[in-house]
Amino acid sequence: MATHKEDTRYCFVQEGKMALPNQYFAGRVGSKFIISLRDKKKILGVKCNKCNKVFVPPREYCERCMSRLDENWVELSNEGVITNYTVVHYNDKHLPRKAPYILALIKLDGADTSFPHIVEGIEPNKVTIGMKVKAVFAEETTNTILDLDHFEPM
Amino acid sequence: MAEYYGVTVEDIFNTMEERFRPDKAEGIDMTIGYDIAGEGGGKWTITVKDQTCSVKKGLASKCTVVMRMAAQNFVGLNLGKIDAVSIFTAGKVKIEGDMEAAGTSAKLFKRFKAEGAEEAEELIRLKCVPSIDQRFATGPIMGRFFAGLKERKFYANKCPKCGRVQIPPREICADCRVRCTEFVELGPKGNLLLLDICYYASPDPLTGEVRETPYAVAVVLLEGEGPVEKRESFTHFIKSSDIERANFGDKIRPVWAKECTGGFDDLLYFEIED
Repeated sequence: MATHKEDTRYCFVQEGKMALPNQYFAGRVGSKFIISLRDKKKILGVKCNKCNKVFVPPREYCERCMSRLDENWVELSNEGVITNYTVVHYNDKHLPRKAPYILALIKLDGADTSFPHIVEGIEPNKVTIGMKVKAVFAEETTNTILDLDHFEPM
Repeated sequence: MAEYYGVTVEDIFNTMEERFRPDKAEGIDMTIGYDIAGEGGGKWTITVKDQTCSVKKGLASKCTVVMRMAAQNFVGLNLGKIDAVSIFTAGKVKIEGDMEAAGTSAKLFKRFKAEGAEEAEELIRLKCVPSIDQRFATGPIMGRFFAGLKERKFYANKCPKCGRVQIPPREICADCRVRCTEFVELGPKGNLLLLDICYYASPDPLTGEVRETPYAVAVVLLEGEGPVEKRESFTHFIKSSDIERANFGDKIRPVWAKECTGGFDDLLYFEIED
């Protein structure tokens, strides 16, 4: 196959930026969850009495029976276990930590669902499934899920 | 008296003295004028001095700042139904005088609470403008177009089969799907074919800042050789002040950036040639 030699005199790269104005609304249930993390340092979930399941983070409806849950608040322990994890090995300015860091699924004592959060205070190669962890709350709050700053091994 | 969200403009002003927060007014000495248009509107002046506040009807002759807006927007702002930043960027609040004072004035008063209204629950809303780095490799054809902009020239390319002239130039003819290697220069002047006028204050994707409205995209036919039907039209902005007077067929010319660097912002917009 004959190779076609491309004229590259006019090939160059344009650098640019794209700004994306963004607004996230936590909703009524999500707001209550974050405000509790921020002001009371407590993790809240909701319980479906019909299915006997506790959901963290809280949601408005039960995913199984569609019952409305936003009145059935329960307070959870600040301790739980790692049910799975991954180690983030790349850096990006939008990520919450510098690589490498551990992103784990954590099931709090009393909850039936796991939710992802950062685990600190342990080397990434030492983390194991089933490890007990406890919540560390942020000193400076930001009105985000990061008002629960991270979990650390007990 | 006209009510907005169940509250009158007077309700807001009548309660201002009791909603005043002396603890926030330390060292503040300002006179804030309000010119509220529409039903139930009027003019008021608020004087803040020595950690006290007084409200009077009418506009004082010397105000630190005067804010003009419609009655509905005024009530909406005070009840927290309308976002201050959005309404300001939409041009619905006119501020004359000290802009900073206008911002400060909002902190001097407790939120207006209608009689019997329940305390609103706190809801969380996060605003952010993530910025994403972009790299665009022009390739040889689009690169030629950008290199042309640097010399303030429009380069198009011509299909060897059908003779159609494409701008911006593309690797192949969109109709015949054959490589187009012959470049021709178009313009720089041309004629206006149509305008697409935008009244929605959309953000500029490059900066995230809200654009001034209205702005318009003009479809223009640049001057060139050969039959008109074989020449593509070209799309770019038209000067904002030309939007009102623009007509089909108007002669237009490009307005270039002071320094052209071979990028898509070298061409600022087209304007009507008088």
